[in-house]
Amino acid sequence: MNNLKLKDYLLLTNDENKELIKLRNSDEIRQVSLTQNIITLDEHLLWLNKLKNDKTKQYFAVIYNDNVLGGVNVFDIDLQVKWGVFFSNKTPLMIKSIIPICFMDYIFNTLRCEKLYAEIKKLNINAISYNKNLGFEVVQDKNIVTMELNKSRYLKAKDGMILKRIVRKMSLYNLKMEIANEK
Amino acid sequence: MKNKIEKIIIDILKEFNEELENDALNNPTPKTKLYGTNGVLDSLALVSFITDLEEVISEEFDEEIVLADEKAMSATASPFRNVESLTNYIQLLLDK
Repeated sequence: MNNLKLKDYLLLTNDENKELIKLRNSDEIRQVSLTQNIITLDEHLLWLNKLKNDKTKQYFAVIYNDNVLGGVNVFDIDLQVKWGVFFSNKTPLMIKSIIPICFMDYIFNTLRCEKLYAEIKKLNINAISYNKNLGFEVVQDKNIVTMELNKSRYLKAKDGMILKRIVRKMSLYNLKMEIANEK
Repeated sequence: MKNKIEKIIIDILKEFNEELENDALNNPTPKTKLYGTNGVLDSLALVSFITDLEEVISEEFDEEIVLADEKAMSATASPFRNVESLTNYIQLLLDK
């Protein structure tokens, strides 16, 4: 069964936290992350404690058939809302494609965000292209590229040639979102 | 059969490029790199392209094929490296 879920970091089990940190500290993820330091499990758990009371950030692990494959997050919810995503290289491409659509729907429909931003290393061409396919546009082109997306542009992209086909495949997955109680 | 498969791939890539607007896809050839190092498609575009390709191939050859299976998508020698490797992979699936 294709069980796919976005599970709030605040609900992760100890084993899931360990898996997540191992993945976050792997070279493949740190190479493309804006912050590249190694995070220990203790540091991660301390940070989770702070996250409990922080209404401006939400972090979710991507879990497919009980394996942690990556994460998505939305932060600065009170300011210029930004999103981030990372996946293990082993992640099936279909999952890399379905998750951002599910998460954009959550950001624009549930969180009622008006505008969303992404900050990506200029060298990470694939991620820039990935965000463009979600409807993002480059608004600042420096070493860190800033991209912007509003709801109408997202809906247009979702109805476009590329995302429409992926949306059709979403029904093949048993997709769930587990969100911690309201902060 | 190989030429027909290649033509289908190239036609779909051209159609896709109306949305992608990627210069590297203006005139795709068998050597055009699709996914991976220096590939022109990111994961979203690749999955969408493959989904379309599966449908067209199934219609044209009257045979259902699955390109987007996890084995192919995570293979070290990925069939999605370039147009040529994808053509060969589809031919292999149709010959089975």
